[in-house]
Amino acid sequence: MTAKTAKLISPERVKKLFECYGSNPDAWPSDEKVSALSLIQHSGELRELQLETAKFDKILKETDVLKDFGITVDQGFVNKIVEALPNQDVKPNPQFRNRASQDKKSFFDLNRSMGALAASVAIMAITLSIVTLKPENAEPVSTVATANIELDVWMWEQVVGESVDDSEDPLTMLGLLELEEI
Amino acid sequence: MTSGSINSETMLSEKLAVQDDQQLMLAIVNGSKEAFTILASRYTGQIIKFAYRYVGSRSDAEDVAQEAMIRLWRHAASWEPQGYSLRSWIYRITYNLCIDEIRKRKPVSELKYDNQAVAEGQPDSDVYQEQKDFMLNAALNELPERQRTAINLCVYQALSNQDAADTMGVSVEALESLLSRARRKLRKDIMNKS
Repeated sequence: MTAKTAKLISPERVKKLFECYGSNPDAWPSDEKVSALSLIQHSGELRELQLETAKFDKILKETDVLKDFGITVDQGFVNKIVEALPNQDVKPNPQFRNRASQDKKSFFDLNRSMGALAASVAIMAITLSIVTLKPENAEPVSTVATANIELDVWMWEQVVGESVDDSEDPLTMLGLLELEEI
Repeated sequence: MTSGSINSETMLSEKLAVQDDQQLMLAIVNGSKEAFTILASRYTGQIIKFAYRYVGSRSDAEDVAQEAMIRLWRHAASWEPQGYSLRSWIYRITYNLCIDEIRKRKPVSELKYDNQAVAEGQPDSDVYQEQKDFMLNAALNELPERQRTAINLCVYQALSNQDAADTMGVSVEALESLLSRARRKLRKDIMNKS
């Protein structure tokens, strides 16, 4: 994780920080802390508001029902977990290992109805272009067979962003794109 | 077992113990149970405490924590350092398990204030503190679940705003909205009750 660059904020934003995170600067977003502290230093109103917020923070922390709950873990419990470990899943397709980037779905994601619709439109467009743009003296080729192969190749390139190896079946590889939800 | 192999094992354990989460995860992806043991020792206590707030008993919280760590092991290869932090990933797994658990059964509802404590002659100051604790915890339980979770993560588990937002699967702005609404409601409820 990269460190965020410090940013300048307004007094209104400082009040918002108190409202959301409380009076303790350690709880504030790291890139806003310096600017917030500087504003508080020069504003009596903000200092008073921080003190008021601190009173409520104290109540919130002190009445934590689990404040005395031991968080030291019995090593025996950890060992029990280790003993029960199953086999690990195989590594997924490296193109989609990042859960954050997984959210950036292709427009032509077949898992979504819009994606299926877009794919249908694409099929029609490709078929049409093959039929209308075919040179007059070209050898007759089955447009349906050609369209299917070209669509598979094109879709693979769109979804995964790499060229298809002729020896691999694109549809099988597309199946690998569905990651197991945790 | 020779002393040489014992020494090299000890050295490996010591080396793993000082590694950060990312380094441990890379070892876990490669099947290192030792690295997993160290990571589990680091996080299991926190997630037991977090789970306890939802499931209400230590044994159930430990079951949730065990399942969360097992899932981390199984799906280790799915985690990428450039994505969510490991901490938020672990909390997210735990949070999802807690939600599943409370959906299966009746949720942990209001705390019952035990008048027995008063009858047994506790000092007035202790009784007063207990009543205050009870009021706040009742107010916490009355919050909508998402607001309560935001408070749990940021106030009691001390996660950063980004980690808390990632755990809940929301933006930081949405998290801030949940936190400010929760804190406002708590202040109002506590003032009304007192």
